[in-house]
Amino acid sequence: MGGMGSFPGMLIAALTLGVVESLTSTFYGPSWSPAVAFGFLLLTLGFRPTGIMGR
Amino acid sequence: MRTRTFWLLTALTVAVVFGLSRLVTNDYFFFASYLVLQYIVLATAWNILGGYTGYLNFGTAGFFALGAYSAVVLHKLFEPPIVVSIVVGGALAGLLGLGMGYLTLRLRGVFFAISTLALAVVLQTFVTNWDFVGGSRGVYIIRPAQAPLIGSYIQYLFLVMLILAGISIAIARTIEHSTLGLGLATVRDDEQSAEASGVPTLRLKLISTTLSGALMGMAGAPLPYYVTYLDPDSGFNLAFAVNSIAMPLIGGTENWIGPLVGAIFLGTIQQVATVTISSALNLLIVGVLMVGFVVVAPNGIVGLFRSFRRRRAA
Repeated sequence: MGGMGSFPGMLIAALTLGVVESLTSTFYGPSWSPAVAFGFLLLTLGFRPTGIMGR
Repeated sequence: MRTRTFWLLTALTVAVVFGLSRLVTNDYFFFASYLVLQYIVLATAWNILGGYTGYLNFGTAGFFALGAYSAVVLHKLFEPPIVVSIVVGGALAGLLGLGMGYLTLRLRGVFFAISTLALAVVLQTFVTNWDFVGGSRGVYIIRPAQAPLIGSYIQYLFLVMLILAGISIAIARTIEHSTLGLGLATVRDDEQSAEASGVPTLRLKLISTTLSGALMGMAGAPLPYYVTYLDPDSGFNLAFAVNSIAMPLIGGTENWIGPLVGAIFLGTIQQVATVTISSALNLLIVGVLMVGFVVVAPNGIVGLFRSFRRRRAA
């Protein structure tokens, strides 16, 4: 998600994903968290296939 | 063989198989062969995208369960005949396939595979949280005890699935022998040079993903009536995805016979193993067979036969 081979990209992606996922499971219930995690993955792959910090 | 002849032959085969099955009185036979037929549809549908076009779809379970759950919704609303659910389920899954087709614009290879898997998981989460279709508790479908003209309802489901299998195989054969199939093969072999030489790759890919998705959805629509209890975990079970990938790979991905042979072979083994040993063995069987075939016969059973024949001719 962050961009293969990009250290800052990986850091940003990992942080965002972890925080967002645990926020969803706290506020909307744990059954929603996979949708958020995989939804993010899907959106990144769909709109920026090289990742957030990718070229 | 002309395409129309093939459609007629398929219809004839379907009729003959159904006629023969009337002689069987054991209901279990229909339960088991329904599953095998379902896998024939799934494997053929997967192969339209995976084998002909070269895009690996790991989200079969998503399309399949979309068909199943649209049948559940329809059943809760007004209990339509099963054919209506199949058409609606197929249409919805086809739409999802069309959406997935746009992903192929930017993604190839392993990234496309990941995104299809992600698609299935997102869908599963929505269904799990949707109380109308039972949520994570699952939903009970009470099917009619009798079907008109045929009698036992499971035989009716068997007939429906048999016809679906026939249709999907005929569609796959038709694609193979048409300009569409040739275009898909160019996409599979080298997408960039295909695009450069004027093949409308996007349109071809969209047709392929839509067809493949629609067939998977159609295979899923009778599922709630078959199992009578459907929960997200079994509807979106990864086993569907794994099996429908393994079957064409084991049978051979280059033509319509491969998925058919693979599905009958693997499906029957799994059914036998479920009865004689344990259903937990199914995934192990798939894994072992897949590893074995990748090593021994990378082109599947059909490829194996072909190379035998070639060796004998030489």
